[in-house]
Amino acid sequence: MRALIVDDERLARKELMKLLEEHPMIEVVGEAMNAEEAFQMINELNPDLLFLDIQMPGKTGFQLLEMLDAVPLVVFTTAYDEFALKAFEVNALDYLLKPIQPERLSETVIKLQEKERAKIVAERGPEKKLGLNDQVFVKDGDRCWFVSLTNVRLFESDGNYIKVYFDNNRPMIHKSLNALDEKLDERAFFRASRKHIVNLSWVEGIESWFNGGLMVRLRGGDKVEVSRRQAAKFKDMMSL
Amino acid sequence: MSSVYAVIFFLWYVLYFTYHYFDQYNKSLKYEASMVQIELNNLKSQLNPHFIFNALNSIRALVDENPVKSKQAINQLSTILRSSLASDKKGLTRFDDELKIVKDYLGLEIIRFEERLRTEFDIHPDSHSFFVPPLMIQTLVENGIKHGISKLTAGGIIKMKTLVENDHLRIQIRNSGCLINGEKTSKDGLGLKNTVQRLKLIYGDDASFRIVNEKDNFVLTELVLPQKRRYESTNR
Repeated sequence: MRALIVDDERLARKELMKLLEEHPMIEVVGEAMNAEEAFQMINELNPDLLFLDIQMPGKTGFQLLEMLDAVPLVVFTTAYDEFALKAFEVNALDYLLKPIQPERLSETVIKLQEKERAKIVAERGPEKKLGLNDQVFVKDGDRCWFVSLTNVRLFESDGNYIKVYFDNNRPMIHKSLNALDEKLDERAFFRASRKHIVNLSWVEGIESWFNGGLMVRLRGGDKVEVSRRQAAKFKDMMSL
Repeated sequence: MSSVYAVIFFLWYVLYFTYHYFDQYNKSLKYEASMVQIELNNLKSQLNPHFIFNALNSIRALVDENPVKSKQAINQLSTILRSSLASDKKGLTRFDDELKIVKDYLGLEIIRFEERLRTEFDIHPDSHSFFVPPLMIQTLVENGIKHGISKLTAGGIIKMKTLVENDHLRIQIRNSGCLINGEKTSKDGLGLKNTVQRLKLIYGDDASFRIVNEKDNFVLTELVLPQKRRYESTNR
């Protein structure tokens, strides 16, 4: 997302830039010192997002918005909350109080991601299911991965979390296996049981198991049991 | 005999009413005094939260850019916060202490506004013997920044000058900008109205205050205060 920072104080702009370094999805394409300058830059650069201070010399942040034909997403940044209600009235995406807390900014970024996703859905129709060619973002504690689904051999539910098996990593994501199952392309991923979803392209061998179930062996040695009910479905799907 | 009773009754009557009259009078005096106290407390200058949070924000950025300066800024801010807490307890404060607060305050605003804010001081050496209502000068200077300098894209200058004449301290604050008609009475002018009322409660008619446009796009805010002595006790 391309963002423009509008604030009359150099240090305030610098501080926000610094905080945004943690969020690579937001690319700061310009900085404006006042509403007039911002107005020009918005018309030239056409940013997706404004970080907008309210009180500035000349025109205020609100007045700037009134001047615009097409208004980008707006996140207000201000030192005091006396304008919060008014910000709400102009449909601001968020309202950050300076000094900005890094955790609070992360919440804003999540809102932005949701907004962007909603926009994509609105433009292209319902979300496409995730197939082997898609990449997904996985975060566990401080570590992050951008992993291609081809490399994910197995999803295993563990309480309210899902363990994602790829390479030697098994990060946990906070999600239910049912919700994940709905998002995955059923031709590439198979729901083996209440606990497991396997990547079919990693299946190396299949053996019969107790009670009419199956045991699936994956490349790399992981073994996954397919429940009886799912085994029937599996045979249905996979037979000629 | 009955006339004796009449006299006794009359005396009792007079005593009774005299007593209650004075009692009532006393009570109303006390009431008035406490009202003045309450009013004064309400009028006491409070730091503008905008200023505090903007200052903290600048300091946060400064920690990376100039650690030495950021430490200095933290000290400046703590002086101001401390004095704002202490001013609840004090009636009047030394001019020198108030001047330090004004300088610390401006120091922080310069960090924020950078080249857009310049300051000048011209302090009469006898000013130091005077006492002033705490944070009153700071409020006026802050007003000059809030309504003057911060509205100007190119920024401006704040000049503080004091004169001592006839046992009175004349404090002049000049800021770039222009007083818009009616601003004195609008909600932006609330701070100024408070200042006027506060002066009246502390000094009666012995102090004066005015704010006017001067030539060359300057606004003059002027405060004339008498020597303290008599006033200190009224403001405890």
